[in-house]
Amino acid sequence: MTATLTDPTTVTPVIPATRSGTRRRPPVGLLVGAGLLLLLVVFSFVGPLLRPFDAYASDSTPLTGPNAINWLGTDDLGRDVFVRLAVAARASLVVSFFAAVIAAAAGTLVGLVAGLWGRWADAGLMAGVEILLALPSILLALCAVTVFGGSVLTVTLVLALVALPQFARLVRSRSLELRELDFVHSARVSGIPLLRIALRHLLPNTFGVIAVQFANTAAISILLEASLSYLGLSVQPPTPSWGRMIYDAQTYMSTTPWLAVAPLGTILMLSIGWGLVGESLSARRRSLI
Amino acid sequence: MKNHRIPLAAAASVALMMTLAGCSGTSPSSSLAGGTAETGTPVSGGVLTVADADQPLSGLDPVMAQSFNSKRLAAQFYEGLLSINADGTELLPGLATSWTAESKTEYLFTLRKGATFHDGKSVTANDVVYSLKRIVDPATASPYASLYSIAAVSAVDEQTVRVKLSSPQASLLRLLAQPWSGGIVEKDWTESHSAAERKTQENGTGPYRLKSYAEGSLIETVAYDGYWDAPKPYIDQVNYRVIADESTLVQSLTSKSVDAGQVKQPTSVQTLQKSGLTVGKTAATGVQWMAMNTLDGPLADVRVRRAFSLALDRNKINQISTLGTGQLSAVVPPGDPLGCTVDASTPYAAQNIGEAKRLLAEAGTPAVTVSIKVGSNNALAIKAVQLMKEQLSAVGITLDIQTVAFEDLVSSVLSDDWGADMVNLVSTLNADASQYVALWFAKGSATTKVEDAKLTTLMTDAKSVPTTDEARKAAYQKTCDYVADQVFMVTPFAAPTVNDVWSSSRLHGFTPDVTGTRLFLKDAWVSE
Repeated sequence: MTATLTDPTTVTPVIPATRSGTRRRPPVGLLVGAGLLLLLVVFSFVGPLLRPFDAYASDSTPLTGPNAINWLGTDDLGRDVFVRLAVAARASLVVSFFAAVIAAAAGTLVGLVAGLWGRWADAGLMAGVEILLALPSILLALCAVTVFGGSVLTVTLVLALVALPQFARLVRSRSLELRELDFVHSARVSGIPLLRIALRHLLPNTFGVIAVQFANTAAISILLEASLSYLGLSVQPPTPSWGRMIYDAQTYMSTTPWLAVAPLGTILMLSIGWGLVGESLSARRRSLI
Repeated sequence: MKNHRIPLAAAASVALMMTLAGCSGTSPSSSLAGGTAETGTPVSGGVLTVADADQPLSGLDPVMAQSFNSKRLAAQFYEGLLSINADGTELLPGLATSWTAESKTEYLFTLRKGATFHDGKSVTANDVVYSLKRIVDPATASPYASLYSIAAVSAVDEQTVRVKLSSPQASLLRLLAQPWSGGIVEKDWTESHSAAERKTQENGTGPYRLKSYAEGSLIETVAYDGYWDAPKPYIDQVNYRVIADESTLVQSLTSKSVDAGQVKQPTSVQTLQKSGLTVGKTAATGVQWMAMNTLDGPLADVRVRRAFSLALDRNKINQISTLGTGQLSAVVPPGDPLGCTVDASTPYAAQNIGEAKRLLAEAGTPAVTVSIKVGSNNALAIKAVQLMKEQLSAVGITLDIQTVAFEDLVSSVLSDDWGADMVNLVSTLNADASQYVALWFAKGSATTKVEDAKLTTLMTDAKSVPTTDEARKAAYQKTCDYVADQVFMVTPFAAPTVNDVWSSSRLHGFTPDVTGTRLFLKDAWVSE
């Protein structure tokens, strides 16, 4: 009797298993992507220390071009663009990372419950997910930010909500596939509670798809956050954000284009960084299946 | 006091409606004369293409023209009994050649002979009586009705009209001089056309008549050949194209695909000036009102309000926010003909960090947080509040900036609870100076967060002074100074809300005016 209650994980490997005996070099894309992300993290903390300016202080001549003192020039209020760009990186990194974390956690939970329990739980949860998917993400974000006000927390939660359905569908799909495998059947026949099966047997086997989706979500969240900032609905001034910097720069586009080019460049870097990480993880996962 | 409550509250609501109308589309503004009119011999003929950001939102019926874009076009089609000069400081003849104040409440107007409506019929005393009665008739629902104190209007003879007032009204002649608030219409035509028809059709006495109206794209007007001030207008046809996006409008002007237009952004003005276009001298009528809730919260203490005001370096805020195009301002903007001035004698207007700290300490709040709601579409205000936040932090005041959609801001202002200690709106040129103060301080108004008997008295006095403009201006200056002394609101600057721009190689003799509605386009001519 005791043998039947043994957790089958002890004898069932995580699927797909890594091929034994070979050490793979990390793909170039992963290294470049992770490098870009690391660079921006370092920039966000070290950048402000490199120049003797406060990101909020209007202590220089407005709209000066890049020079030896103000490396990326100054904005329309006389604030140093380089320092503001670095400080703004924190908001973008925090929003993109935590939006993806929250979406991954909540989406995985929904997907696991729907996939493992099935029937009414599956039907109900997936109907909710479909409704969320049917709503245009930017519109949903706009409504939520309008109601609850623009702040880093609100924007992070809104972006997580927007990304949640993708995780839920992926994890549910994977769960449906896994629950038909022998080791899951064995566990159920052995009388192991569904919660334990979900946590011990299904969850580890969904990490691959979650990781890929995580990176993609982070990349998309940056663009959405920038869009909300551009519309004035994300972090509030004078706190810098890349999207808001582009919004403020648009009236000076013909005379001082660097004001828009600098945040545009960092948004691209962060987006490409997450994108490369996601693509590399996806490629690696495909090669292992 | 009680008898003033309802009129002031009504005036406040009208002022808000007009402010909002301006904000929702383009904003009424002004351009001072400033001697920009060009000398030369006018030449008749030609076509002028003008670019505007929008078309009339509230139609072409003059007394219903509430939004700036409606006023701008109504000014070409209609005229009042009087008219104003370019900077709005002088009243001139219009459809009336002379006028006499027989008493403080009775005026006689002698009508111009030879003036005709666009359908060819002569302007009669009966038309004038009908027009003025129509403005104040509640059934018309004109936004200007509450500004008048008209008790009776009658035709003395074919050329003379008598207006009797229920009480002395200082603003009467000025309201009659604006084509929208005092526009004269033909009785038969007006009664035979529905309100909807009058929105897109006209039959005025103005220099231009409507040729075609294509919704959202193009309005064509042609010179009225029966105009009483012949040979004006000189330009045969004026076409108004809609170019909503300002950067596109700037490009259209610099590429000479349009001959004239109006821009809002100081940067657009700079770009156009560099491109060799002429930018008319402007008047600062768009004051940034940063109104305070003095009934509740940290700003209920006048010492905190005064500390707030003393912490600000207004010159720096104005210079950086408006790129030098603005002026220091009081609650009534300096660009208004009756506008207030801000100088060294204005209470609590000069920065004094030490005194600000002392006042805060005295109030027992050495560190205080004040929240402010700003419209996300108000670029100048967003710049200003960021600078203010930085300056306020030096005395221990934390400014919590909340940018919200314009519609949310309006809802907040109209509700009992602003949801913040301060709210920001920008003014437009009002039909009468009383509206600037009535919006924020009228007793009983939903927008009022001030209770002060002395202020109410000052406002009432300023509104009813039936003497000269100088006396009225002095009365408003007194009101403005009292508002500054009590810091019921902070007004860091006023900027032009629109700037007239034109190609001087095409358009000649054009003088921008304080209303921004191109009142003097009839004096201009074009060259090929």
